[in-house]
Amino acid sequence: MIVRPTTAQLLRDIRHELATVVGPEVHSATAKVALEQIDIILEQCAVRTGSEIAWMLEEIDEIDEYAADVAAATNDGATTAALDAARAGRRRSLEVDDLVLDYNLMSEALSCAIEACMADPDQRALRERGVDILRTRRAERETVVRANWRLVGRG
Amino acid sequence: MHEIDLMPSRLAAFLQRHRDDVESIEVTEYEEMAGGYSRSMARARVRYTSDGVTLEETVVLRGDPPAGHSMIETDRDHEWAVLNALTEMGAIPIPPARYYDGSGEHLGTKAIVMDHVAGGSLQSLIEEMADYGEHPTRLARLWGQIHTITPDQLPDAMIRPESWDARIDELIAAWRACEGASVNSNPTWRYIAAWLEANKPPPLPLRLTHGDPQAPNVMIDHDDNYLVVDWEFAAIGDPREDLGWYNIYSTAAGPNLYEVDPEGFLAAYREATGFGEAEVNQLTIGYFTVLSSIKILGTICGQLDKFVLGENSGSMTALSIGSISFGHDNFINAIDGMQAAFDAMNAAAEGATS
Repeated sequence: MIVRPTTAQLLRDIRHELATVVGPEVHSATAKVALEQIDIILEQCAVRTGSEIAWMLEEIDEIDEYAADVAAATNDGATTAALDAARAGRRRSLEVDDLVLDYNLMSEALSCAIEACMADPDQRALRERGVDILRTRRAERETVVRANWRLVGRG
Repeated sequence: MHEIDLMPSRLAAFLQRHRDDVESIEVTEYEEMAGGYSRSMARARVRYTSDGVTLEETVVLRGDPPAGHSMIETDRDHEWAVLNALTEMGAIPIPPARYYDGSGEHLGTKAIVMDHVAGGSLQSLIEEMADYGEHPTRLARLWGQIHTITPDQLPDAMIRPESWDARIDELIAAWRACEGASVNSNPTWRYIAAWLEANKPPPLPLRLTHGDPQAPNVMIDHDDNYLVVDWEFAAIGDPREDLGWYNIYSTAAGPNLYEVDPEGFLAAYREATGFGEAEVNQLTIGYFTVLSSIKILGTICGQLDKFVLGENSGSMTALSIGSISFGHDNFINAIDGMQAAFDAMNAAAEGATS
């Protein structure tokens, strides 16, 4: 398998060609907007493709540990059930289609765990730990993936 | 609307059905407009001839995009009912709505024909400005003007929440319902719903809400009047839903005229509506910035799910992933800030009683 140029490099090369070769030939306002949107999406794909497997794996492990701590501290049935389902359902494959299913199941465990902490005022510290996963593992990475995102063509 | 070559003759025939007082109608120019994210938009130049007299004008068409290419699904029948009511009422400045092809039989898709505003949008104007002058105050008053419209003035077809609590609970439930129906499990949305439920603000009377208030939806005519367009999300709700959505949208696609001077903006809004500072303040607007976003993010999420299932496509829909993730980042930060403020207030209250 030829792994270099990487997928990200190929996508960025296409961006460049669209901008320099195709773009100047596009004259309709709606097509120009579509081209600009495509450029943003290609850059987002380039960012995502480099890291999404590593990010999902890292987060799955972190949620597993967190949800187990919440289940132990709160005896919350929904958290326990969701965590059990996520563990039992893990495919332990690096194929993206498999991994997104693992990630989805473990995300449900995170949801349940945070909800359990929200319902129990004594679990403020655990709740903040869960929110920190949302912030640092999800929101901050999504910000990286958004890349040059903007609402093109509005106004 | 999607078969551009056919549209001049189709539109002329459609207009002729409504104007039997005119001998002939010709559409001399027809072009798609960029900038409409949710609907297909077009501008047409129309020539009317009667008794040897010729008049020309420009009209705007607003219709549904092709099936499977919509970033957002909304109901044209609903929008037409709202536009008709507002046009008749005359209390809100809007470009008058003229005609509606409610079946798509004439224009190829359900479409509304309305007056063209010869001018630009507030967005295009303020993007070029270093000093926004009176625009923040004028915009606050404009939103306030909309929020003086009470439910009894609105069409029967508009859903009337049973109470303020019912409306707020419905929106909180929507966060959970959209998440539950989605192909993606989303712990951020579940956290948002739980936090909103635990921290409800004081109520306000239910009023007309625009649903998508943003500077691109405010046109400015040549007489410098503001005119509000795009009423597809109009509903009866808490007025602060609009202020909250304006805030988050304008944070994503600025300038944000609320953020320039929040206290000044809110003072102008309170003056226009008569609402009090206990209900309309930076904290309650923060709450509604998060809460109200589900109305549009929910439908975006639904379309992205269809994308996953192969039932939707297009760069517009794909790009909207960014809208959802932009919300995540901002909502978590907003909740952090509000929670810190509540904690400080609670600590102060405890200190005062001890």
